Amino acid sequence: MAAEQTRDTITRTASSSNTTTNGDRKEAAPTSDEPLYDPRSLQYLEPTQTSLQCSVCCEYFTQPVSVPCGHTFCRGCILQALEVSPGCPLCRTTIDPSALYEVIALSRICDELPVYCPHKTLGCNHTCQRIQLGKHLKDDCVYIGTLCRVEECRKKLLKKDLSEHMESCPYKRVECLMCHAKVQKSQLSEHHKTCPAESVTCPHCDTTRTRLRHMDHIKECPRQIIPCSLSEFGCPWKGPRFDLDAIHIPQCPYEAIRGFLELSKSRMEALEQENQQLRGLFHGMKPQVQQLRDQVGQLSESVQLFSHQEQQIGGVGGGFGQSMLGYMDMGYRNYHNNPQQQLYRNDSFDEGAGEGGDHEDEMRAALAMERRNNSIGAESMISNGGPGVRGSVADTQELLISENERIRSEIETLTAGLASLELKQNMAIMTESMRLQEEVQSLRAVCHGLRMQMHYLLLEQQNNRHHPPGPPPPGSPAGGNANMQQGMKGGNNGAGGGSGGGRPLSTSGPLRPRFSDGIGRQETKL
Amino acid sequence: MSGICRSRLAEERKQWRKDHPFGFYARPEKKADGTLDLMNWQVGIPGKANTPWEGGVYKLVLIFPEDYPSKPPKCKFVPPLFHPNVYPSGTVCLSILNEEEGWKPAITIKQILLGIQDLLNDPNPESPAQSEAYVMFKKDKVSYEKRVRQQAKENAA
Repeated sequence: MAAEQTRDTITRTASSSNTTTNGDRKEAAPTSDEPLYDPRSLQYLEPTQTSLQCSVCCEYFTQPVSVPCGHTFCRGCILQALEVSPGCPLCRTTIDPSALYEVIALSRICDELPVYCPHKTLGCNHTCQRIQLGKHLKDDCVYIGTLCRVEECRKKLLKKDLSEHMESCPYKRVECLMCHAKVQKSQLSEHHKTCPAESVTCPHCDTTRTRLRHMDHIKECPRQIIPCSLSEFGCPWKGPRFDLDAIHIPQCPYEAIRGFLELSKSRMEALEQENQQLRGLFHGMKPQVQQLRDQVGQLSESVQLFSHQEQQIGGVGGGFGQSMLGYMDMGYRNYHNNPQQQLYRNDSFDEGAGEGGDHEDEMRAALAMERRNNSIGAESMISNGGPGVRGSVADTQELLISENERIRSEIETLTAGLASLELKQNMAIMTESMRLQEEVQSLRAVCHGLRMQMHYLLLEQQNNRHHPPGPPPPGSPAGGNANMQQGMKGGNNGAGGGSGGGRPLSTSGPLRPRFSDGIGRQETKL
Repeated sequence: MSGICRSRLAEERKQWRKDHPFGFYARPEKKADGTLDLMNWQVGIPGKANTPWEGGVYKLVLIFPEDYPSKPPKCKFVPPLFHPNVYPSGTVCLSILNEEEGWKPAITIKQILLGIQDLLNDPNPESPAQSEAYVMFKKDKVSYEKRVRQQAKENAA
């Protein structure tokens, strides 16, 4: 029986909690998705009773639930605490998050606690039971934030200030009393300056009408000061419109020659138009002229090149003009004398010659042949006189250009050869200098060895002079000299051996015993 | 998450201002812009009367994590204290401040501070945190107490 009851309560609590949450959401919905108030930051009228406090958030219970160990917490608090560790926040007993039972009585007690409106700091002194707070905030509280209803404004303000703001909102639309158009309040005075329904007084004739009609009136107001209709031709007269026709036109000196003026005006216009057209044409021509100029430049360059080559070849062959003429002539003669022979030189033309034999074909074949020959090489053609060359200027030029090309390539090969030679020489010099450097190094080492020997000998001599009673003063320099000479000899030998072995530093080693030898000799000598 | 954390700390502050044990103080630090930083508190714990700790008020900082009260705050003596259960960095080694051991979300700041005050004259030799105080406490009680008294003088309120 008891078990049944508990189950019943569970289902009921589940459903009731659902409804309450749904209800909350509905209440929160109208302004935005965020809830109207934070249940944890409410201010209660009565001092906090610790028995009604959640020990996690230290506030009055919100949706209190009890856990199997008997403790009670806010639903949000216990769920959050269980996310971190599965124990009861009070006794650390392990809790299954699905085994939470709503404590309805406690929930009611806490919901009935009187609270201040959360907007108390803004001035709302409303107090009510906690459960009614949502309704108060939704419907009654004027200290809740809202937005101005005008699309362009959207200013954030308190609900209580809204109506006052709506009166003065600069974006609010108001109706123009004259034209009944809807205008933003801030732009109303601006609108009055242009409103078509506003009445306007004509500044010339002092009559009053709406602005819309005034626009038409100003075109024909008899008192408006206007210039003479011929002012464009130079008439200086100005006066009221009704004087123009009545008084001025009969007297106007320009009126007399009006026909002439109009004629010249139309002519002038035609001329101007034509001038405009011509100018356009001229501008269109400019790039073309530039293009032509470029072409001429290129041509003259090629002509110069041609004449230059002519001179070169003239120098080699002894007068290009003559030779040209020569082989042009020969070509003609050859062609006219034995065209058949020419044709047989190239197998590919055999068939054509055999079949047709007509003059035109022959001509064509000869031309093709000639082109081939040109490509073979200028030199041979000059020396041979060229078999069947019908020299046109262009062909000769081609030939010359190819010659030029050949010479140029030759020069290039020569330059490359020179460069490689230079490189080789550099390498040779470098290896040679390396070798010399090494030699100098070894010689330097030998010199060093000699110096060391000399030094040693001199030291020895000095020692001999001072310590032993031995050598007499006049004999000592001779002995020293002899010693030095010995040392020098030994040094030379040693150095020679050292450099031969390529290890100049090792010379000092084998030299040492020799000093003692020298000393021994000196002693025996003395 | 932070909703509970901050509102709980605000509530704790309210409770503390309403009532707190004699000789203690606890206040949130101030941020550069003058507002209160509820996540960091400065607290002072007096030594108990009739103990060598008497006379000193020992300063700590409590650093609250975003998960508070699901996770405990970090309590740190500034400057580090001569005590067997205080790490050389100043952090307090206490079972109720250990998330794995004795921490419960229901423990209030007042309870934490009283717990630390109890720990002062009742160190737990089972979990030493610094060698100097621990060795002296174990081997030479007389000089240990002398040292504690000197420390109390240095930290006199």
